Amino acid sequence: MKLFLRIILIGALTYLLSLYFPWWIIAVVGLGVGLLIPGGSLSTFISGFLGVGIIWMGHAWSLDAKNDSQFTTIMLKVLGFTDDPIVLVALVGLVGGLVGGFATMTGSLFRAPVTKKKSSGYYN
Amino acid sequence: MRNIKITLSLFFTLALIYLLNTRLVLGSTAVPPLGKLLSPFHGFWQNAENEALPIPEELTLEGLKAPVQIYFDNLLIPHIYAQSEHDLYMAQGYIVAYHRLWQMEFQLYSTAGRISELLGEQALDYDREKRRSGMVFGAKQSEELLRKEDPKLYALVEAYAKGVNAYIETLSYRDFPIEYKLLDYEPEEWTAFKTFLLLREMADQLSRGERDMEHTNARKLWGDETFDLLYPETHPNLDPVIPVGTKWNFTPIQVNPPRGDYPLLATQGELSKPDPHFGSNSFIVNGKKTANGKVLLANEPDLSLNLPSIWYLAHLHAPGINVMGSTIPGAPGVVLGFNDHVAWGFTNAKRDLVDWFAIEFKDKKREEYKYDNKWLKTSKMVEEIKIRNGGVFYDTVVYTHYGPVTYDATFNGKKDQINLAMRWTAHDASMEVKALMLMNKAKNYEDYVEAFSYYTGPPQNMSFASVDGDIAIWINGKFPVKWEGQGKFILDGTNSSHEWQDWMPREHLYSVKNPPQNFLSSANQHPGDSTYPYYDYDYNFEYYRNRRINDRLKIMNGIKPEDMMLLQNDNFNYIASESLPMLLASLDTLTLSENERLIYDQLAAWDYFNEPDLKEPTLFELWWDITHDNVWDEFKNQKVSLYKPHIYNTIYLMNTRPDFSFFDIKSTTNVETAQDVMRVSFKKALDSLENWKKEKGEDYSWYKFKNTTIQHLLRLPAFTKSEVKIGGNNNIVNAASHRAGPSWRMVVELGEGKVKAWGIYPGSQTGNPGNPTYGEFIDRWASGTYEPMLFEKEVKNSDRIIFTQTLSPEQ
Repeated sequence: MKLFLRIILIGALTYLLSLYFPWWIIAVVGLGVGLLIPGGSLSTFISGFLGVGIIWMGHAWSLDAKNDSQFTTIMLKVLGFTDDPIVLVALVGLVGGLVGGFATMTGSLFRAPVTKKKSSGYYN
Repeated sequence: MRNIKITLSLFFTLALIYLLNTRLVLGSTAVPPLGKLLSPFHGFWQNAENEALPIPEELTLEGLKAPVQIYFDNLLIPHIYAQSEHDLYMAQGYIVAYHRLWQMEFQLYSTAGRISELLGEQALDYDREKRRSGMVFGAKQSEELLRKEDPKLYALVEAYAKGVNAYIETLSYRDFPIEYKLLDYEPEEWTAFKTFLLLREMADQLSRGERDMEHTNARKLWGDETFDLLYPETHPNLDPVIPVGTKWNFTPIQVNPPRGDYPLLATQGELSKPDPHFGSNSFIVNGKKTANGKVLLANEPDLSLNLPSIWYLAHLHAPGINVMGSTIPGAPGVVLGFNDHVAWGFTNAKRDLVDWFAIEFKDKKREEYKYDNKWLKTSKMVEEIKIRNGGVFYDTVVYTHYGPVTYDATFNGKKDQINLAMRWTAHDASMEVKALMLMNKAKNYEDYVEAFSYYTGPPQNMSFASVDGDIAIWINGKFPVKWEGQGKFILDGTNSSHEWQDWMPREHLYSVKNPPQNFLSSANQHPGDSTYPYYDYDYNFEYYRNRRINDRLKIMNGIKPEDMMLLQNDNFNYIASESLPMLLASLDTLTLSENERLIYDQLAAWDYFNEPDLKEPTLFELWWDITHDNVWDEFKNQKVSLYKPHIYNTIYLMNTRPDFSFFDIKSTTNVETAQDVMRVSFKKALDSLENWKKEKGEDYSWYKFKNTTIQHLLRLPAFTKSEVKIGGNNNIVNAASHRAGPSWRMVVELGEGKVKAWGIYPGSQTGNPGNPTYGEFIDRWASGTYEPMLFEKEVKNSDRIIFTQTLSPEQ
């Protein structure tokens, strides 16, 4: 459950705070949520990765759809590595996801007990 | 273990953020900061606009004195209605910044020699040359002069800057134009000084075509007699700006002739030159020649074809002013346009206004230089050029009383160890801003004459027409009185008699009003006939567009606005009409192959019009270019810098002196004549065409071959429109060449108290490649279509208004 809670929290905060803060606010969001709801490294990474990644990808996809891919098509030529808007949308998700994932994991690590505790599974 | 994990994880996260937030230079390619750029909340996605004007209807603008209404018409031209001139120019600054902020700033970086700050080391030489041409120096002087002489007007330039800054202040990263995001930098504060500097750039683009060094080199290589054959100052039967026979009722100022010869210095370095294909056309006809008795004025400046466009259209309305036309992003007011009473247009009035003086320094310290039998002190200016990812480069520029030693032994004159100081009218304080602002409000001929008395440069042939029925041209500018030949070659800086001695009084300048021929025109040709009592040399006058325009205007009657538009889009290739018969006659038709014969027949049947779909213009162009290259093959591999003689003179020599020694092709053992050169070039042209086809495809229609390209200022192909389907070429009235052409076509009709206008330019009001209207006028421009300009006292009720924005002062 913690995993889903983190994903939802990170996603919601990413969406709201990105409207007011620079792009790296996603790292702050991840770090904060990781501190607030710590867990295993993989689990926290996945929550950050999905929380930020889905929002970034979804928002990019929706902007692209509203714009009929017109500007994305132009920017693909500028960036020069693919001509498929969906690939770019996926890349956006990946970039946001990586930053979110590592930040959340880092936040959680700060809260990890000094002595190593046996993990009971991915979904705690 | 825990600490290591935390440290590693934290380090990795921070490193990732750093990398994604930084512009990385990998080898020769720069990668923009990907995190910022790709973020859908901040990056390029935010520059994608789904409607033409995604802006609020109401805005507060700190500093306004009263509310301002901005009505946007269907072309996105803002019609700005303000209650004072202060508010008018502030709103103009605001709205131009909204559409063109990045462009105006980038052009400023370019003029100021600051491109290295954005692009790094690769732009250093460009920046050094810009700094050394002393434009900042000239702009500072001009700013000071206006502040002192006309503080009220200066305050209006400041109001414009205030408007630009008000817009910049509303921006955060997400709102920055896309180019800022790609290059990763931020807009700076705009200042009045920047406006003055941008206006200097006009002078740099238009009055810098001098060839003093190349001429000196050619004279040294070949001697005076050959020099005069290669580069004659004039030809018979020219069609000058001021009609032949115009009388001059003044006693000219005399200057003392020089003592001693020009220094014969061989220079190897080159100075950047504006595109020689820049030019402009303007023509005016009075009521006797028009269908309805009104006056018609047409103008189009043929400049670099850029996106965002050089021009931004606006209609400015406040008590005492109602003017519309093209503005320069970065400068208040209208530059080319019309108001309720008059219309005006410019074409560049070529005149050699940059002279180079060879400087003899006393020693390596460069603190003193020789002038007659004295040693004068220099002053030094240290230019600080910031280089992106590369520290600061300090360039010491030595100033003499002539001006900056632009070409010197530490920079472009390294190889030949020569120092040349630049004397340029654009270094002097001037009041172009005042001239233009006064013209915006002019009511009649007298106001026009008065307004441009404040104008110093770049010199322009200024067309004028009024609702009163007057037509006129003045060639306005600040001109030194020169002795015959002064400034054609490098001058001797140690010899005071080589220096400029006096200025031409305004009333001695070329002008003509309501001539008996009932029309006037200008197209960068010679300004007047030989009766004009001053030396008015330039190396690069136009010989073709002017004659075509005048040929047509002489026989045209009952002229309508559409006829003016047709003439602006005229594709008659005068060069072809005067050289193709000679080229064809050089061939021995009996020995031609089948394919050669087909091409021959095709060209022989051509009517000399460079229409976009035709193949003949391509064939002619290839043949002519290769002929021209072969004629002047002596210019290849020369160690010093030179330039090839003008096309007009080339054809003239081929016709009149076919055995001139230059016609011999150096790489062969035979001695060729002009005819041989043309014949050999024909075969080479066909080979060259085959190569072109292999590379670009079978269809060699003129527009494809010419490839008129409206290029984004960053040269990004994705933001650029190429292969625009337009005819013409340089030296053709429709002067659309590969990278230069009609940057704003305007036709104005004046009479019976009313002014109507039409216009088009190759671009769009928006500078944002993410806006659906980006580049929207290009196809209409290419096909010769014009848009009627919405110009009325009250535009708000027009059904062409698509959006209204109200700017209010702070409560």
